[in-house]
Amino acid sequence: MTAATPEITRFGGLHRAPGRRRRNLASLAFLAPAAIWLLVVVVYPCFATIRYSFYDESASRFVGLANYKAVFSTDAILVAFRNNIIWVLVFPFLVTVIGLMLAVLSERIRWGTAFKTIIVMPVVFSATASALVWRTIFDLNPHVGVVNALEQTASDFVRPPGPYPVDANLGQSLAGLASTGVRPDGHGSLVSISTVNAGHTVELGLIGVSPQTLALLGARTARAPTAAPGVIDGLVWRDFSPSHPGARGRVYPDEDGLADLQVSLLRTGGSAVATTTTRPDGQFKFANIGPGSFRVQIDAQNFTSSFGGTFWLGSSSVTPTSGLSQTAQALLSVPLIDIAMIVAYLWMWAGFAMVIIAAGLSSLNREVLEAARIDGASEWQVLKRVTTPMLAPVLAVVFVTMVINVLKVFDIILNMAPGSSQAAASTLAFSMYTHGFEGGIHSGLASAIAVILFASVVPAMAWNLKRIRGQM
Amino acid sequence: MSFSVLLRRWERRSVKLAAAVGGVVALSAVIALADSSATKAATKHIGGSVTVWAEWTGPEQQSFEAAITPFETQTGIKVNYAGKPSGTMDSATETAVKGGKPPDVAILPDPGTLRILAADHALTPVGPIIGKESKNYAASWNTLASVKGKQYGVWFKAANKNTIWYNPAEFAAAGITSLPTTWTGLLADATTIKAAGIAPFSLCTDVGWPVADLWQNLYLKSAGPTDYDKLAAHQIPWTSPTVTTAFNLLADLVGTPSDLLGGTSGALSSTYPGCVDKVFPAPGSLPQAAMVIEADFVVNEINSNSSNYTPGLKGTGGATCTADASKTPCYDFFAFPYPSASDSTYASALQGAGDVATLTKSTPQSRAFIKYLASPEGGAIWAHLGGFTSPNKGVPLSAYPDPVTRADAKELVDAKGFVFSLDDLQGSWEPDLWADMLSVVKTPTAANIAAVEQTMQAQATAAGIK
Amino acid sequence: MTGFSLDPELSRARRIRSRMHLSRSALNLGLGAVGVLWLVPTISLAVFSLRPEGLFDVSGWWHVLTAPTQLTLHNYSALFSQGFAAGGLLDSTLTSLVITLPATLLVTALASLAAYSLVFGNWRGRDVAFLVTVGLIVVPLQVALIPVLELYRSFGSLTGYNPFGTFAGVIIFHVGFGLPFGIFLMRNFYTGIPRDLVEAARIEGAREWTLFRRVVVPLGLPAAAALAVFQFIWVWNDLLVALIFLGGNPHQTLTLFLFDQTRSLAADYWIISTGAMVSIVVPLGVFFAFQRHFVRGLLAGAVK
Repeated sequence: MTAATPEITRFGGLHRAPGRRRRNLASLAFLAPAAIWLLVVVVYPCFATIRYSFYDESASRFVGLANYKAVFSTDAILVAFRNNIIWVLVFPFLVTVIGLMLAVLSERIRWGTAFKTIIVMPVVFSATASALVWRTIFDLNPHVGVVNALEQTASDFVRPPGPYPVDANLGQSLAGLASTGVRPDGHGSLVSISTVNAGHTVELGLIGVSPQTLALLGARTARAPTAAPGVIDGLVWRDFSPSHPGARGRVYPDEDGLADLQVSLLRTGGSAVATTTTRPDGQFKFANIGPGSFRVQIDAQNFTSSFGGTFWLGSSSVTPTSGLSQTAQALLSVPLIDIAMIVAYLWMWAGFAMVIIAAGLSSLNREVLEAARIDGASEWQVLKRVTTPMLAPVLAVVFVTMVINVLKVFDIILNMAPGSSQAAASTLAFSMYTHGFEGGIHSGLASAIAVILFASVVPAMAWNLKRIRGQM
Repeated sequence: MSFSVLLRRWERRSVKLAAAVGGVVALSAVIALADSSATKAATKHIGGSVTVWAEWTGPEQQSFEAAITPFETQTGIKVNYAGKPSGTMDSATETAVKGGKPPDVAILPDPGTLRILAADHALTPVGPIIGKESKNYAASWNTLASVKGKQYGVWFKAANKNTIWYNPAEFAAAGITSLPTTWTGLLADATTIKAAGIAPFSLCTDVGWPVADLWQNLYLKSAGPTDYDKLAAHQIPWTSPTVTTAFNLLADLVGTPSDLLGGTSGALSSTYPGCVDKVFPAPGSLPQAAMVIEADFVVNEINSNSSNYTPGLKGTGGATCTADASKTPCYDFFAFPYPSASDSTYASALQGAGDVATLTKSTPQSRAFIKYLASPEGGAIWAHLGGFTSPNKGVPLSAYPDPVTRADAKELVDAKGFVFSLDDLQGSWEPDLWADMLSVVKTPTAANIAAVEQTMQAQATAAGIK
Repeated sequence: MTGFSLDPELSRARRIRSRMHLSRSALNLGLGAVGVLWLVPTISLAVFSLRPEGLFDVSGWWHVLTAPTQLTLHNYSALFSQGFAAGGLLDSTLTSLVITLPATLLVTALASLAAYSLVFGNWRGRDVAFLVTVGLIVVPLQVALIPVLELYRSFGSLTGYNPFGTFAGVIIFHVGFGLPFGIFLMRNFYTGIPRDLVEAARIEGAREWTLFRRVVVPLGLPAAAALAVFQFIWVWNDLLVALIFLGGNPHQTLTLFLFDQTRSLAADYWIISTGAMVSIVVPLGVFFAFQRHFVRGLLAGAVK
């Protein structure tokens, strides 16, 4: 090779091969823009943040470890730690398992590509958009949230709601409904306080019935019953008069009867003798009854409440923590919102796990798998004993990538958790924003949180480095 | 957020607006004739431009831009306004100061940020610039905008937090004819409303600030403005009996979930202004609750839901509000009640908040703008457009468009013992304070109240040490 | 073994086949259900954006199945009719593009250059430099927010140009945090290019720039495309960086546009759903157009 000899080449004609030194300079010049950019925007800030974390809010006075002490003594930030731990413990494992399942199963169907496309799609959505979608899916209102709508449909099927629902979730009670002449019997029904004999009347007043319910049931103005021989005449009415809002127990002209209530006649012993339904004016009648004293019961089924909804986006804990100290509660409770967010995040990231694992799967030695199947191993055994161990390196990559990912969870909390749950749903990345940037920039505290966040990804970073070095 | 996104809502209001803008023109002429000193502040032609940030978007942005139009025409200065979404103005301004690119004028939603920025030497004192216009304000307002004796801000817009807004139709349906003046009376009325089958309160919780507003009202009315200011300055511990009293009053309400629309979970899933919409819905929906407890900025949301809402007890066409909210949609408020008939010492104390204009960059244009904001002229225009109360004494009550707003503004002017929202003065502690308030809504037991007080005391101490 | 057969191997195979056949239909059914389930959130968002505002919290979106006449394009026309007014939907879409495209191109270009130097350069310490870069991939960007803010201010007071509050300020930050992964991906691909090829070209007298442009870039196109797609989606979907660095800019990204609406969820969900649809359509388009590249980027990106 005569590198110094001028020759005509396809690279632009007559050239003298540049010297080795010049070539090195050129190649360093190629590196320079990226290197400088990285030094200024990434490397220098890492050190600056470490420095700020030992300074006060305006970065002017050295305060030692005070910011770190503040981090570890603020319950709100401890909650963020707890949530980070929950995320790291639960999410990477689940997403890897789901990804593995989907990858293995989608190989077996003809429309595997279409299926994979559907699963991968959410990966390209912003966490902001996804969070806003899932916020409606878990909404408390069954007219918005599909999860609560399903729960409601199932519950209404098992326990059809009555015309006058009493919902304990809304703080309502039967006792709150009983106004005149009735009291709860402790088994979900209302029973007349006094006994009644044939030839007499009974008036039972309820309150807390909304004007909309009355309109819906076609209620008419209540009329006081008149006594007739051999018959018990009765009235159930809305014991609330807008013209006499404080008066109870009297039937005013602007009060309506309560329609469609199922009422039963009870013998003093307790057994039901007859059952009937109130008319639109609230009246009911029991005829052909014998002598003796009776009570009138407004049956429990009238008050069956519709399903009130699960507050998936709320901060109520799924682990019992009452009775513990504030800090212990902060650390040990698992709020429902975490579950809702993890489900949403699984939807967002399972496609990622599936694609990586599927790629790993396609490079596996098929003959080993086939041999296992021919040997009579069940699919489950093949997956457990053969596929999974062979895929271990890929699974590890997915797992670690997801650990790093969930340590930085931020957008989804800001957009999915309603305001009142954000504190309970907080993570380190999120509390760095709320405690560091909202209500003024607190550069010391924010930097301390950022350093902790940084430190928490260091093990993953080391693992990555080790892996990539091994490949070099 | 720009107003343009809310265009559709705006369309509904546009008729009303057209009328209002017509009124503005007439009104500014009146002001110019009646009080020439008010316009003197900005008559010199200067030219150039001024960048202004505030938290007003949508309808409020429209009104603000109408209010500064005379300034632009008189001085030839172009105002470049950017509206920040609610709750982000403080951090946006501080981030911009930190990033070295603040606006010329930042209209901050609380004095806490003003103090931080003043301490960082990021603000120019406004005292010498506004001169005698400072007499337009009560001393308490000017003190709130001052740090170490130097005034750094001009209050342009005030919020009266001493209000509870109710839907007169629901009150009519519940047969309530006289408005409650005491907390016990209010809760008794709530029981009546419940008996009528209506949820009494649509409680605003959001990230906790509406609950803080509510609690601060309770504390102010039970412990008084002196203790209130001491508590705000951490001179009274959060474990003191006065604090417990206020929490117990709050527990009287939130401890009765049936008083709250949707019970406790329903209340905790509410956002602001979603909670307002439940009481004053858009046409086609029925009100789901009778009352909403928040400041007078509620009116903006009511009006953006429907232009049919009539302030006061007269419905559309002058008919008295009826029990039919869909035919005669009305809104009205009553003053936040004092604890009980025997505990009425602080009945006329008032919690408020406001937006304070600060000079984040001193230029001839920004100085002229600050001076204009300190004069009554702009405030009078916005007052006329509605949804606005001015802390400026120069803005006449006659500038307000309807009896409800006038009553609201009068309350603010007549207050004996004005205090600023306490949470806004807590700096970095504010979000945790809100979370503590929510904790009491969630679990309003004596044990939890005691625990929350301990937590708050620890947080207040930690926040004070910095 | 319970059966008896002359040819046990054959019967076992037959049994396996019938077992697989049975489970195949169950599998199709099961995965079909999963697929439908997976589509529900996206479909619900689309339906929300196509239904009148007033229906949001009074009737579930699934009622559209029985009442398809509810569907209307009104939400879109209402938001699009504002044109490019600052802060509106179209303006935000444009802003997202204006930030995303340069950030994507810069990362791809600079990472390719750096990777070239790391692979074909002859300087010492290349491996160390590469490992440092790999280490930087996982650095949480939260670490740099405040220092970069300060840097921008200092730069502003030095030169009179402060990137804070400008698109450039957001782009600079994104490029910084996109580079480590970009270099990693490009370098891994370039190591696959035969070194002999490059050496031969050098011997033929090719200058480094010519070599890079005429040989390495064309060969590396698949990787560059993967990186570009990946980076595009990454920047397009960012909320935090824009939230902090866009400052007082009247123009905002789509994610910021959405975030601003969340404060009154029920009242504004028609805006949110419509905006979110627009915000996902663009990356979806990129995804479908460059699906293979995207998957390759994902495979390489299993570290970020």
